[in-house]
Amino acid sequence: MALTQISTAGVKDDAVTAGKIPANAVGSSELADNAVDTAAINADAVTGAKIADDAINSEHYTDGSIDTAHIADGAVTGAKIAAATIGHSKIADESITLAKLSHGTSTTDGKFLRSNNGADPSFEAVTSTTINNNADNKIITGSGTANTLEAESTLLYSNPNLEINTDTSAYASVILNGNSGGLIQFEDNEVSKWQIFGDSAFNIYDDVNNASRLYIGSSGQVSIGTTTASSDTDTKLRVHVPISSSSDDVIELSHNTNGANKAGASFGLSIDNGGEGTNAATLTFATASGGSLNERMRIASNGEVGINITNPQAYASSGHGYNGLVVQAPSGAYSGITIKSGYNGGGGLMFSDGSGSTAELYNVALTADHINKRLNFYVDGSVVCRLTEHGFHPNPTDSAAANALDDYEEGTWTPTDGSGASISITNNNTAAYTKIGRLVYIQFDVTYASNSNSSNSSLGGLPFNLATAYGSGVVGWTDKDSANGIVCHVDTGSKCAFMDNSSSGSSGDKHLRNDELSGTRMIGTAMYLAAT
Amino acid sequence: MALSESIEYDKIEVVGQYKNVQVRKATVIKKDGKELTRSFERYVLNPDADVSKEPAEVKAICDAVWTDAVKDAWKKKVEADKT
Repeated sequence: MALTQISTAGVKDDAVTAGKIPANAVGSSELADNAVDTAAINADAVTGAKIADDAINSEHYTDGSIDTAHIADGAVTGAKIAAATIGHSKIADESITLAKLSHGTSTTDGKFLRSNNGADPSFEAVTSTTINNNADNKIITGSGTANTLEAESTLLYSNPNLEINTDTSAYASVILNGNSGGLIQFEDNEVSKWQIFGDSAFNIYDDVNNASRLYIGSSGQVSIGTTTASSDTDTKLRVHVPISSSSDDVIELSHNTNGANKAGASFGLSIDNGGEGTNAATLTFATASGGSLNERMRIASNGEVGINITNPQAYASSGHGYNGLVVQAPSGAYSGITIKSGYNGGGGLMFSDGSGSTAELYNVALTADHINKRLNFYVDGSVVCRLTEHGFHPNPTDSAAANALDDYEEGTWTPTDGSGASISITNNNTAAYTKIGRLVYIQFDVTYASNSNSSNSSLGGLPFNLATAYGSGVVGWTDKDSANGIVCHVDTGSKCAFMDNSSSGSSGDKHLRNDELSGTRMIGTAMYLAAT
Repeated sequence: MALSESIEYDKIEVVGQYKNVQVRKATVIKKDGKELTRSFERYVLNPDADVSKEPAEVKAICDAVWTDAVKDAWKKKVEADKT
């Protein structure tokens, strides 16, 4: 029977096997709708060509089944990325260019992006903000070539201190560059107190009192208390004292005593008068004693120098007429001037005549020779006399002790009876003596009391002991003619014996007895050498 | 203003081999403590002198220097001068 004669009914169920179907014999029309189940499809049998365009939707993908390789390059657009879904971990390092950052607006131009601790960052101007990740307190500087920062500066700000600290340069510097100079102002709660400014000059200015305190001019002249420079450009310091008729210290030197800062000395000015035309001022010097400054020396406006005296000029103009120097010791001490030699040679006090000649240099002088222990008196350039350890030498070429005048004294003495007879002697006038060196010159005016004593007369009580040699003298006047021609003989025991030199004397040895002078007044003199 | 006068034995000198004592008695006048004048009176004490009435300072020196030997020597000198 021909195949075309067997109907579907003539085929038993399950009678047609796969072997009875020729290859490629079953078309899609022979398949019932929904007849091919998953099991009837070979694994990997469905190729991309068997899937209709746009036929696969998201429900046919297993979660997590699409890997990166099945997404075409450039296939994921911004629309396919959910909002706020890309975290910073999805962005590669250094992958975001400046163009992808917000460009800001005109109001944020030049400002920096600031972190806000939980809030959105904001553009802000950098004022006192500290830039993180730099060394403590250092300020960032600009590059000078672009709108970029260069690096940390050596300028440190640590409230309230601003410091330039450089390790690479010898000196740190601050430059204030204005059209007319630079200025630094010091304020106290917004009130200006002091200013330092400089242009062609340098000025430290007291803004409270509107006064310059220190001024340095362009020629280097320093002025304190004024902006007027010294009268001579070579004079580099002027200190101004705002007085016109009184006196005041100008410069004070201080020291530490027991840890306290105390004044030790000062220089000052004393204005002689207020007349600007006379411009007369005195320079004063003071030292401290007992806790306060006291003037010790001054140079008066007329050049007179005074030590421990405030009116040296008066001693010349109203006193002795000699100008120059007046020295007075501090209160309670003797005044004096010491000329100390630089070695043991000597020193001098010279009086020159002002002629300008060579002779002026040694016209009149007083010089000390410490080696020979001499004080020489010069007149007209030569030593005219000198003092040595032996005394006064009128002849300056002779320094022998024997020729030195080593003593001079005047005084009185009391003539007494030297005979031992206790004769009363009346001194009509005070007896006197003058001793020049060893030579003693005595004067007496005595009256012997009436007596009948026969001892040899003599006056005792002489002022100096007699040397080995005798002395002698005369009685120049007596009140009795019979007593004329009496001489004196100074001898043993420093007694002045009276003798009659015109005769042998009643005692045979020219001595006059006491009774021969009874009631006689005698005025006489005698000289003798004193014992040493 | 106060004037004062005082006596000072301002020089007591021992001179010569016989230890004669030279005494200078100074009369000092002062005004308000400052010396105005100083005038001198002198005398000599020999080793045989009576010094009992001399000021203590003078007497002390005389007693010190006038030993018996000095007194004897002086006595011999005086006696010798008489001959």
